[in-house]
Amino acid sequence: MAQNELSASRIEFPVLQSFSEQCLGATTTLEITRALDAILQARGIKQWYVGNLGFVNEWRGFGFDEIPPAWRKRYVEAEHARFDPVFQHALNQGGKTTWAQCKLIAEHLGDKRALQVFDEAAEYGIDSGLILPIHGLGDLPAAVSFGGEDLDLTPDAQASLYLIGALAYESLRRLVVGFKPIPPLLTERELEVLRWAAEGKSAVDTGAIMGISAFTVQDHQKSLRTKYGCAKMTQVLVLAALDGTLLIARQM
Amino acid sequence: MIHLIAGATNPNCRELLAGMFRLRHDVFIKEKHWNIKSYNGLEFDQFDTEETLYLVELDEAGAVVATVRMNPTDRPTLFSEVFADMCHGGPPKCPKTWELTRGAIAQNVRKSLHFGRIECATIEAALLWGVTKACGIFGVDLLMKKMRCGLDAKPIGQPRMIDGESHVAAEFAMNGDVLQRTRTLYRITGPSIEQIHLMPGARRAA
Repeated sequence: MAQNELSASRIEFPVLQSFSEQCLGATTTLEITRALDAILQARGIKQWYVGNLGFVNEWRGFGFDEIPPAWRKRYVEAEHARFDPVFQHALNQGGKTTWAQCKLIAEHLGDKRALQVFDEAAEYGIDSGLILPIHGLGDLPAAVSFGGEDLDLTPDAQASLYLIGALAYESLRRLVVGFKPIPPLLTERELEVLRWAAEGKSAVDTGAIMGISAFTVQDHQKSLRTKYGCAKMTQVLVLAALDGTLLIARQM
Repeated sequence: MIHLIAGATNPNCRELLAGMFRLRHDVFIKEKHWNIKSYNGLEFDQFDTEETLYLVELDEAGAVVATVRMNPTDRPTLFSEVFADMCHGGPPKCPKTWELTRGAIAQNVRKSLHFGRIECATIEAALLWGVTKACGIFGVDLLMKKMRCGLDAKPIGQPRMIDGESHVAAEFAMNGDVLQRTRTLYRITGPSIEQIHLMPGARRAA
């Protein structure tokens, strides 16, 4: 099949500018998703997702999408998310890439279950796309994914689509999440130390539980105080409880 | 502690400036492998002038951990001399618009809140100098980070892949509202800039 005729090699600046203004001026998420859908549909992108990828016991994130209903049903029923290399790539904090690159890796690894996801998607007319994983600033893993049939994904087109995705995600996030204090990024060890501090454990006790020395625990505590800009662990615990970090630490 | 330094050759800040140029060398040349010149482990170019302003953040041990370079756009800038084609309708040219370049944070403190402090300091510096807008070329990740900091980043040109990363020219307003929003997000309650070093002989009513 010839490359999608609607695909422009790149999205022209006036379109990008208009989309950016719509995003920043939007008062409802519907305004943004409609504008996004209009840009993407005109370029043959019939599946898109913008939002978080997972949750910790209760849903704390957000997600917006346009996915063919039959494909969505099949994807959920077959539990494709567990094997989908594109989804897993984003979940594991990979970099921006195309679906084709993820497929190449799956082929190289001989991962038949992963390749099944690509084969089935193609049956629903979705055979190419790109993924923009979003991580950092204490948020849950998130991503923007655009897919369609035989998409034009030249470097210029990718540059435009990544920008469109970034603007959509951040604008939707502002409306849904608002401007809440940004938690610092903590390592797994720091989260564990935080969790035991919240349980009232001393550095010695925490060290015994984690199998590390009390001095190392104190190093992690110092790092936590630095990252939160606090003088005392008690203050760190209060802030971590408020920004949701403690919840994540407790559910590790 | 964040210092605001006026002038790349400010004789009162030689050590601070050297530490800043060294951090830039470490980040842009050693880590990111940018194809730019350096001299004895220091990275600087023709846009480091007596008119340039720098924010330089030190850690408790006195090491430079973060920096950003600010140049008024009514003089030659990276935008006007190197990346003019990335701005639709030509690069910004206004004394009240700063170009932000060479933003760098030391690798070991990137997962901390230094980014928020340096962002707040940048807006504070803009307010002190009467600057209302900032612009620059940003990777999509950095653009998102700035938006999440509370800045209303607007693309001003066509994005382009540079070194495998989508980059775009963008501008954003610098005002008291944005500063307050960014401070709230990073739980910063007071001024981030603690010392200002003007060029000897220069006078500025702040």
